[in-house]
Amino acid sequence: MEEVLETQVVVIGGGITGAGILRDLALRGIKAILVEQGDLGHGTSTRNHGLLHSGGRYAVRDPEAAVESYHENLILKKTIPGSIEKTGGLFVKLPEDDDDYAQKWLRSCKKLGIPVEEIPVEQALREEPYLNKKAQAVFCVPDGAVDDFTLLVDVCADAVRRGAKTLTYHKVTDIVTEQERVVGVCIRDVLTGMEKEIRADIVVNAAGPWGMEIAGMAGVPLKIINNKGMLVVFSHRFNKRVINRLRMPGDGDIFVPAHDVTIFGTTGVNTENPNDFSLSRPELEHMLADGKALIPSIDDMRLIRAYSGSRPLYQTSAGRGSSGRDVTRGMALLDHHERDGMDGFITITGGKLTTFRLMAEKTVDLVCEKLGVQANCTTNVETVSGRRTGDSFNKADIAPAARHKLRNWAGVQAPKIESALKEEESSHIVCECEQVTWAEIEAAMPEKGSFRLGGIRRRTRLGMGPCQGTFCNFRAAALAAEKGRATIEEADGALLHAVSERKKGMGVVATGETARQLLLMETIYRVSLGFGEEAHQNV
Amino acid sequence: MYDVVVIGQGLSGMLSAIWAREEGCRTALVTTGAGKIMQSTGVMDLIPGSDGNLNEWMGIYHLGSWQQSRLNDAIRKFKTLMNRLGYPYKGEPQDLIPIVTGSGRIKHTALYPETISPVTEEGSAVVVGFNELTDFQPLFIRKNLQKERPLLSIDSIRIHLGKYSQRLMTQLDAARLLDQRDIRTDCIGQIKKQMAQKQIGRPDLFIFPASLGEDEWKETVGQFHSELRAKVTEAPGMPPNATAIRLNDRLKREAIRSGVRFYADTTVVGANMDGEEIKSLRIKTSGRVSNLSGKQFILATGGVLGGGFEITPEGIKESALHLETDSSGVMARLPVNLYPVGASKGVQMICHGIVGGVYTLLSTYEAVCGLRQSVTGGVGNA
Ligand SMILES: Cc1cc2nc3c(=O)[nH]c(=O)nc-3n(C[C@H](O)[C@H](O)[C@H](O)COP(=O)(O)OP(=O)(O)OC[C@H]3O[C@@H](n4cnc5c(N)ncnc54)[C@H](O)[C@@H]3O)c2cc1C
Ligand SMILES: Cc1cc2nc3c(=O)[nH]c(=O)nc-3n(C[C@H](O)[C@H](O)[C@H](O)COP(=O)(O)OP(=O)(O)OC[C@H]3O[C@@H](n4cnc5c(N)ncnc54)[C@H](O)[C@@H]3O)c2cc1C
Repeated sequence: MEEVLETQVVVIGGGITGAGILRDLALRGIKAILVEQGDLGHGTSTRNHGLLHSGGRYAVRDPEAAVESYHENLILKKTIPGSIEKTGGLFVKLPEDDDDYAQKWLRSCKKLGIPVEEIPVEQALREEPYLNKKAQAVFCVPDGAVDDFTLLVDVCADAVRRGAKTLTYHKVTDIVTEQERVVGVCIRDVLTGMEKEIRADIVVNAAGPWGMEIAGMAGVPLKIINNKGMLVVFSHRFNKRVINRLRMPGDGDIFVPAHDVTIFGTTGVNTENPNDFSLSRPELEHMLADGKALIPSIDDMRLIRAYSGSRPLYQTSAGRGSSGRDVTRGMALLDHHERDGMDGFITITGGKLTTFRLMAEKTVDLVCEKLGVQANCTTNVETVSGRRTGDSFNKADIAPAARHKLRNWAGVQAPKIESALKEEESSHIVCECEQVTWAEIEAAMPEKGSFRLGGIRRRTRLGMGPCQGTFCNFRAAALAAEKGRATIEEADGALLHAVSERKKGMGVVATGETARQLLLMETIYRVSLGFGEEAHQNV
Repeated sequence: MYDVVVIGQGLSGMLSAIWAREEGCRTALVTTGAGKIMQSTGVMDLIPGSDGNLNEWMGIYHLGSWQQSRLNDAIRKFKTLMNRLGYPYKGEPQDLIPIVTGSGRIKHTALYPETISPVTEEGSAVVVGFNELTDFQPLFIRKNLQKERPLLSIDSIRIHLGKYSQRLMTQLDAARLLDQRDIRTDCIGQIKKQMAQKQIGRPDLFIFPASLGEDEWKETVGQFHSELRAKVTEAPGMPPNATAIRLNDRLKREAIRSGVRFYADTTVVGANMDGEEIKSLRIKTSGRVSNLSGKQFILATGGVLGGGFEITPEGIKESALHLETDSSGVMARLPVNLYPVGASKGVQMICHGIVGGVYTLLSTYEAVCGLRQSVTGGVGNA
């Protein structure tokens, strides 16, 4: 072992669940290190729909989850405003949708305290012109849209500010046990290959779809079914509010606005492999056919890319003795001491993005109990700094659109970016679709570790617009090499990787303009810039 | 009634129209928008994205050996035209030359404008970038070039054009600035100063972005060459490249000058057939549909990238004439008076998105030969 670290708690998994736990631990004064095999959000937490549930979707099928969602929805809007747009949502009943379900739904929402307000169909059609004119009834609910990635990085950054540590690009390779007790984890720096160990009193498995693998390392039986869902991104935002279909939840029945685009989904197919992010054209077509019922002109709208993620669904059957503590049906908190006789080890799985805070609260309550720490959860009131920065960037010599974006996006990075922008070259626009300047890119780069465009994209929105990185990936990589922020190998490698990743996401939706954009990208890289065969790796 | 109606304003469309006029045909050109040369590099490749030679090219494009002399004629005709238009092209398809791109990688091409020089294996080169121009990063280029040219001694420097704008500066914007003599003189001064400071000796070649002047390219290249006392080359890369824009502008001006009637911002939305012949095109301008009749038609709609083919979930559709095609876009029954050229011939002709300049020239030339034969009543001799 080349390095041994010590802490009180190790959190495995840099998804929203792990991040929430890390922050809660930090707020309660417990030392912790979060270990993530990729960048933050490598898993489901950046591969979901970004809907801040009002609870409406679960009102009939799972009242408990519905209430939890609604309560968390209210808390998150207050405590993490920077990542949430209070769009509101609509539940729309179409002629073919079951009347009984609609009645049950209304009764249940009322009983659960989820505020529902019916609005005239004409009004709904005026406000959402793309909605099916045949809609029979429309109800407003307090749904919202979450930027899953900013949520995750902001929660983590807040934890780090409060003394927690994160190790990204570090993979947990083993769990160290001594006499029926977990005492630490072995980790490998995936960029350098360096092996390290972290000794800790408690290890929390928050590895989402990979949770089974982690439990296996501790010799604990755990059954998680990964249910893969597909989502697609439209080139522009055509709905102001979230649009849900008022029927028993199914495939392809939610449209969520996200910044300037609309995200539509989803599907559910079980998969064995947590690393399976594959996309299928028939699945997409089936989903679009469903979506047409709500938005009839769906075929005329341009899809810019698709992605998929897996919901980890906990199966109670695999436990040894007692069946663990089911927090609710969707969310499982397993005390492996109680359940399997393995002390110092906890698994938290299932749940939703919307309920991550609650999952963290329950988990950290259990950690405190085990450590004998008396401290109450405060994440329901403590806020995470927002991203809006008022009238900053007044002096920066940048286009109005870039200034607007920075004011709504830079958050705590604002002073750093603002001072970098004083230099002319830092204020050069690198990504025109999303108005990203070099100053932002530089602020988004990790202090150490290798240069990766994916991490920069998620932190700045570089390459997220209609051209999907055709131009700006090249500019960013070349600039990084130019300015000594990346070696030439890193720059070229990052570029080829980013291009092939984008191609994967675009390939399945590649018709019309998107097919053209994909070809243009290939022509520019292969023909104009002379990139060789390597440009085609993993495509 | 026109003798020839060309659909598309890319390289193939404009060349077809110019050459049809040279044959004395009354010619119209209908186009929705600009062609791909606006995004192109301005050089003419054999197999796009590959350094395969003439034989491999002929294999890939299923060309017979008898087409080789036509290829030579096509290239000669193109070079003669470009000489006349004041933007001469060099090179031969038998003899590909290595040029450096805006990423520092080497690509091999057949025909190239006079602003481009090949990169040698040995000797020395200096890459010059402009601080304001994000699309061309000299150190990055130098490092990539060094990988491909280990024996070449390469340096890189960055200078100011002295024009910052909040908008992203392109290679074309930079070219327009370099059309101004005082800016060029200032740049040369900066280059000399930096070379002296960094003790860089006079190289064999200076590598610039594809920005060495737009209208004044000759003066620009000439001044850099004589005052820096070394060869200079442009390294085309991210669009728009001045190398390609010059070609586009000169062809367009020539087409207009020679009397081609332009129907700009006009989309072909169908064809009126009379048996196996196209009688007229249905064209749409600002929402209004009308007919445009002609004797012969050239389809130069550029394939998928040019807009001539649409990829739909059901497969490829020909989107201008709405004629039935097979799965690669080849027309099931080609009307007798229609000549598809370039990428309009079907997606099987496409490598990495395009057909390549040399094939574009050949297919355009062949189409014009076909016109000539039928206009003079010689179809039977074909
Ligand atoms: C298609 C789809 C749509 C959804 N839509 C919504 C929605 O609209 N609203 C909502 O509230 N919820 C939604 N969800 C649910 C929500 O996304 C998930 O519940 C949530 O993201 C789970 O987060 P997590 O942190 O538990 O898992 P993850 O985000 O997957 O995090 C687990 C992390 O562990 C890491 N890891 C795994 N193994 C190791 C190891 N050996 N070493 C180190 N790190 C490791 C992984 O890299 C990963 O980053 C959706 C889910 C899906 C699949
Ligand atoms: C990024 C890029 C880089 C390139 N680099 C190189 C290179 O390095 N070497 C090389 O040899 N070649 C290169 N090329 C290719 C080269 O530029 C083209 O092959 C060449 O310009 C020929 O194109 P074209 O005339 O066949 O079609 P296009 O230029 O695509 O023109 C098609 C025309 O048809 C019009 N049109 C389409 N549909 C309709 C309709 N229904 N009605 C009316 N008009 C219509 C369009 O508006 C357009 O004007 C590159 C191309 C691109 C995009």
